[in-house]
Amino acid sequence: MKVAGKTKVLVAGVLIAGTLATACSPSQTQSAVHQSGTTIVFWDLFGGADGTTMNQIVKKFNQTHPSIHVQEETQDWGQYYTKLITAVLGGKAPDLAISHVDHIGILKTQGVIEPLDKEAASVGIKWSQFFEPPMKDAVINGKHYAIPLDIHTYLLFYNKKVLQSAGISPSQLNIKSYNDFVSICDKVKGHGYVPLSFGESGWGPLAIWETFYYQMGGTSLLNKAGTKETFTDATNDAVAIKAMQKLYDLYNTSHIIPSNISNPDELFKSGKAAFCIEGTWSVDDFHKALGDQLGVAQMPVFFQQPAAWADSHTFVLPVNPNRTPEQTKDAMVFVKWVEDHAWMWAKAGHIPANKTVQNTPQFKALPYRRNYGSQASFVKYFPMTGTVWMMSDNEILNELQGILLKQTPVAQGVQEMGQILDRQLQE
Amino acid sequence: MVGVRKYMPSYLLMLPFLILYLLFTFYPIVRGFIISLQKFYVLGTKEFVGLANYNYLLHDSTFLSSVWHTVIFVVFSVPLLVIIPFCLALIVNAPIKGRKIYQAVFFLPMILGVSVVSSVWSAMLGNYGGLVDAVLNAIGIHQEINWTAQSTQLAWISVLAVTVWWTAGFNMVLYLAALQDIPKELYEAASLDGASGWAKTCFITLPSVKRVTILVVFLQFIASFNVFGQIFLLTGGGPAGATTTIVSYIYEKSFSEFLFGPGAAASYILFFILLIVSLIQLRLMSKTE
Repeated sequence: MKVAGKTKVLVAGVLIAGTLATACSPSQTQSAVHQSGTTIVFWDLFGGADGTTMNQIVKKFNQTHPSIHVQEETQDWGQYYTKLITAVLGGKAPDLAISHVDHIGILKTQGVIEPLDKEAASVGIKWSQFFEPPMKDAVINGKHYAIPLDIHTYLLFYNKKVLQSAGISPSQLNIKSYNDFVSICDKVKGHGYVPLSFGESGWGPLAIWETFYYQMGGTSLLNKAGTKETFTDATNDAVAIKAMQKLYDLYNTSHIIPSNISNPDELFKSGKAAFCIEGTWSVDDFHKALGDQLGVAQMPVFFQQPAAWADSHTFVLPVNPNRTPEQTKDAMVFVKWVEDHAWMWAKAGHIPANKTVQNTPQFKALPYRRNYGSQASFVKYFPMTGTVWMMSDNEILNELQGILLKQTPVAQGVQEMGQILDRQLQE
Repeated sequence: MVGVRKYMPSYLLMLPFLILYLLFTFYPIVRGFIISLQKFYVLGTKEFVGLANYNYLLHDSTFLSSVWHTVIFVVFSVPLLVIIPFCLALIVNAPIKGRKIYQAVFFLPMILGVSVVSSVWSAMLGNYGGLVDAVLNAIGIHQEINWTAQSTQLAWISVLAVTVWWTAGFNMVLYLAALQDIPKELYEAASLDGASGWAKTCFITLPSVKRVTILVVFLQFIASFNVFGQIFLLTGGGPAGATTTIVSYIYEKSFSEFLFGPGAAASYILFFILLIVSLIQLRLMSKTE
C-alpha cells in the first residue's frame, strides 16, 4: 500500500495531537463544576465502617447546606500522608483534610498545615468542649493546628459463646490483673479455642507494649522537647523492659497469642477465638459477624493503673494558596456541623472527641458504646514529634518484631529501640 | 536537511514518545541525581551536601542489610527463573497433546498485576483458613503456619515461590521462540546417527539456546535486583525487616520518612549496580556473536 507523503504527515499529526490531548485533559472529578455555592475538597483516609459513615455524614451535610458542597476524596490509609504532602507540594492541596493527632507535628515540620485558631473561633468551635488527651497534641507553640474528631482506642472484645463453652460466665467476666487474664485464657485454650486473637507484626504489638508501659506507671516515652526518648533512662528502664517481657510472654511463654496469626480480625469473626484486642473501628464489623455473642469491654487494668493506646482523627487545614477565605469559612462550617453531630461519627465505633455528644440520646442509643465511652479519660497516645511517628516507624517496628520472634533478647531489644528512636529524632 | 525531510513522518511519529521520554524518564533521572546530592525537604529548603547521603547509606545497617537481602534474592531467583522456564519451554515445545493449552496456562500468571498476584497468594499462604495450611491439615500436618511472616526462611520461600509462579511464563516464551528457531534437520541428522533424546538436548538444544540464555539471565538479574511489589504486599519487608530489599528501602526512606536525599542516593547505587551488570552482559553478548 502506498500512501502519499502528505497523508503520512497528517496521520502522524493526528496521533500526536491525540496523545497530547489525552495527556493534558483534566480528570473527571476536578472538572465537576457545581452551579451554586462553594466547593470544599475534603481528604480523608477512611476505609471500612469509617468510610461508609463519613460518606453518610458528608451526604447529610450537603443535603442540609445547599450553598456548600463538600467533595469527599478518600485516599489509601497506607499512602495518605505521602499523597497529602505531594498534593500540597504540587499545588493541588485539598481545602480540608483529616490527620491523626500525633502526626500533626510532622505535617507542621513539613509545612503542610497551617494554624486555625481564628478560623475555628469564627464558627464558634470551643476548645473546652473536647476531651483533654487529643487537645494536648493539637497545640504547637500555643497555636491550634487541629480540631479533634474522635478518640479511637483499643478495646477488649470477647466471644460469649466461646467463654461459656469453656465454663466461664461472660456476665461475670472481671479481669483484674494480667495473671487473671492469663488464667482465663488458659482455660479457653484447654477447650481448643484460640485464647487471644492478635497479630505479631505491624504497630499493634507496639501499642500493647505502650499500654502495659503506662499501666505499670512508666512516664512519657519522650522528653518534653521531643528530642530524646526517656523509656530507657534510669527511672523507666525497668518498667519498659518488664512491659516488653509481659508482651513477649503472651506470644512465647503462656502462648495466649498463637504465633503469627495472619488475619486476627477474621479469626475472631469466625468464632474460633475467645478474645480479640482491636480498635473501636471494629465494633460494628464484629457485631455483624458474631451478633449478640459479641462482648465489648474497656481495656482491662492488667497492672497498677488504667491506660490504653489511642489516637485521634482530627481536621486540619492544609496549606493551600488557592483556598479563598469563603472556602475556608465554609470548610469550618462543615467541621462545626460534624462536631455537633458527632454521634453520627460514633456509628463508626469511635468515641467522639466532643464530650457533649456523649449525653445525646442518639449516642446513647448506639449499642456497646456506653461500655467504653469513659475510656477516653485514660487513653495514652504515641508521642507527637516533628519527625517521627512511631506507628509507622519501620525500624522500631522491625526491632520489636525481632524481640517477639526471639531474634533479640527482650532487654537488649528495648535498649536498641531507644537508640533507634534517639537517632531518628536527631535526623 | 534532505534526510530530515525524507524521514519527516518517522520523526513526527517518534516525537510523542520522545517528548514523554524526555519529560518522564530523562528529566527524573537527572533530577534524581541532583536530589541525591542534596539535603532535600519536600516543601522546605534544598541544601547541597555533596556525597553526604551516600556516606549516610554506607553507615546505615538497614541499607546494607537490604543490599544483602537483594543479593540473596538474586542468587536464588535467577537460577530458578532460568532453569524452570527452560524446562517449561521444553515441555510445551514437545509434540504432546494440548501443548497450546499448557503454553497458555504457564504464561497466564504473567498477565496478572502484582497486586492481584499478591492478594491471591496472601490469602492462600495465611493461617487459620489459608489454602496451603488447609491442604497440609488435610494430609495430617496439623500446624497453623503463616508462610509469609513466621520465619525468615519461610518468608523468603514464599516470595521466591510466588515470583517463580508469576514470572516464569515470560522467560518460557523467550526460550520457546529460541527452541523453535533450531533447525529440525539437526535433530533428524542426530536421530540417524542414533543419538538419544538426552544427547540431543545436551548437544543440540543447549548450545543453540546459549544466546537466549545470556539474555534471559541478564534480564532476570535486572528484574530480580528491582524486586519490590510482591515483597511489599506479601511480607511487608518482614518478618522484622528480613525481606527488605533495595527498592523497598528506597521507598521507605523517600515516602515514609520523607528523606529524599538518601532515597535518591540509594536508587543511584542500585543504578550503578545494574549498570555494571548490563556492561558485563554486553561484553558477553558481543563475544558470542
